[in-house]
Amino acid sequence: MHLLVQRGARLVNRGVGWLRAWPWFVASVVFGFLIRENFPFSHWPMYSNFARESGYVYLVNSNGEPLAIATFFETAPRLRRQFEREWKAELKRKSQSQESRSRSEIEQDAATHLLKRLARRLSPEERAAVGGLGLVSARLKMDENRDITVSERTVAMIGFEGIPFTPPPQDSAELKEPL
Amino acid sequence: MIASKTPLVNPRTLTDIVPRIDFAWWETALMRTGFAILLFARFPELASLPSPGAELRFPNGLAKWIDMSWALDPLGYSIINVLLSAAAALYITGFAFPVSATVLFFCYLVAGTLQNSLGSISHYYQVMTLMLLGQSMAAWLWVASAQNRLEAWTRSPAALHSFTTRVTLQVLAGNYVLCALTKLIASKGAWIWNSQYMPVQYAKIQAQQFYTTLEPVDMGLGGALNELCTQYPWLCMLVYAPGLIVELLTFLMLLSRTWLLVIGLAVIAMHMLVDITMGLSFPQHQWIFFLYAVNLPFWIVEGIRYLQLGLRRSPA
Repeated sequence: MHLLVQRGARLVNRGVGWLRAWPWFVASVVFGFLIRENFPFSHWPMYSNFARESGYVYLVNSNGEPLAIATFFETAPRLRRQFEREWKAELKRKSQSQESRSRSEIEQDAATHLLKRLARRLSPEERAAVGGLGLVSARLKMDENRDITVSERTVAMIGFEGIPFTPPPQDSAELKEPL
Repeated sequence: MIASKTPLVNPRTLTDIVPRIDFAWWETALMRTGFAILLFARFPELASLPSPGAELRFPNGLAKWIDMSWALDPLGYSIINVLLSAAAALYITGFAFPVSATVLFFCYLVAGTLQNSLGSISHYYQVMTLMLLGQSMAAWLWVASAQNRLEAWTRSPAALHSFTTRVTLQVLAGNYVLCALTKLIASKGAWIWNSQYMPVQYAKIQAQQFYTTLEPVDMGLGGALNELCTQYPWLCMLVYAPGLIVELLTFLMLLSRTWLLVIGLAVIAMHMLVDITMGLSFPQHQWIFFLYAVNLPFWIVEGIRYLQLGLRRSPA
């Protein structure tokens, strides 16, 4: 037993010695953990946990037909995270102002904010072709038999009145980010 | 007068706290060249940043306090690009390294911060930017503590580049270990067990890929593997558990050249597996580990030296 404790202490000592010898390693772990998602720091939360349910969002035109998200220089994962962020901001606004908006109304407001920003990237011709811009939220669920089902609903639909057009840069190229 | 000439920090103290893998000048030169090309090639396009005049609804990082929106203007973006090109060229030479590394860090900091200020956090540019941050800080520290402070500007000192390479490896290892720790914390230690629900994520990724381009998604081998994973939860755990273990053990690459090679190959293999099974590719991370950890030129030279030694020893 005494020998085991001695060996354990020696191992701990060696571990502490390593950490002291690797200050940049320790700093990377500590600063990443404390500063979290503030560029360039990150605590890398992607795929940090898995559940039976998940979701994604996509864009549709006024007829409910899907639109390629890449047209807006975005990807579906980025769009989902932006929607979630808008939703959290709306939720915070609601709790601060004691409003009595329902969950679906909050989602609708969040989606409208997002859609209005995206709509700026559509030219007058593109706007005429799509008629309107909508956001669909899809939920995936795995049941006890490991079958996956999808349920969808249109969260918001907007027109283009009063939204200015911001032309994309000339050197637009394909996105370098992974989907 | 004598006191003013004494360096603030003893350079031996600075370099000795890091386990000594001494990199030759040609190794670090090749690493710098590869990394500079990567930095130049993967710099975010202006189109992937917020539109000029668009509201940064969720300012991230320094954008919370400093207005960086000038870089969204085509002229501002062009200036950043010119700086990037000049600094990348200087970075390869190794001269004035503190300046070139800092300018490259600044370029990536501005572009990455703006890209993450729309509400969605991408994890595409953090590793490269953190490497540059580590290299810049290490280089300035080295200059501050050097006996001859002009050396870093007039020459391309091998000792400086060897030191910043060791720091780079620590930054890489630290972030990969942190990634594993976050998984363990967020899942309360059940990450491997919960990976049985990976098919849900797979279905999400597949749908997201489709809705991004509206083109049919062919997941190839990943699709077949996912079918099996949907039927057999234990297979999910078997496929994804090694990834977590590799991330957790990334620190081993700081121990020796051999560990560096082993962990480098393991991390590249992990990224390849994630690419095949989930369609999530991080080619720049693979290249970084190929350049800094696998370090093929070193092993080729070692192999040649070993063969020459063997030939000399063998009877004629």
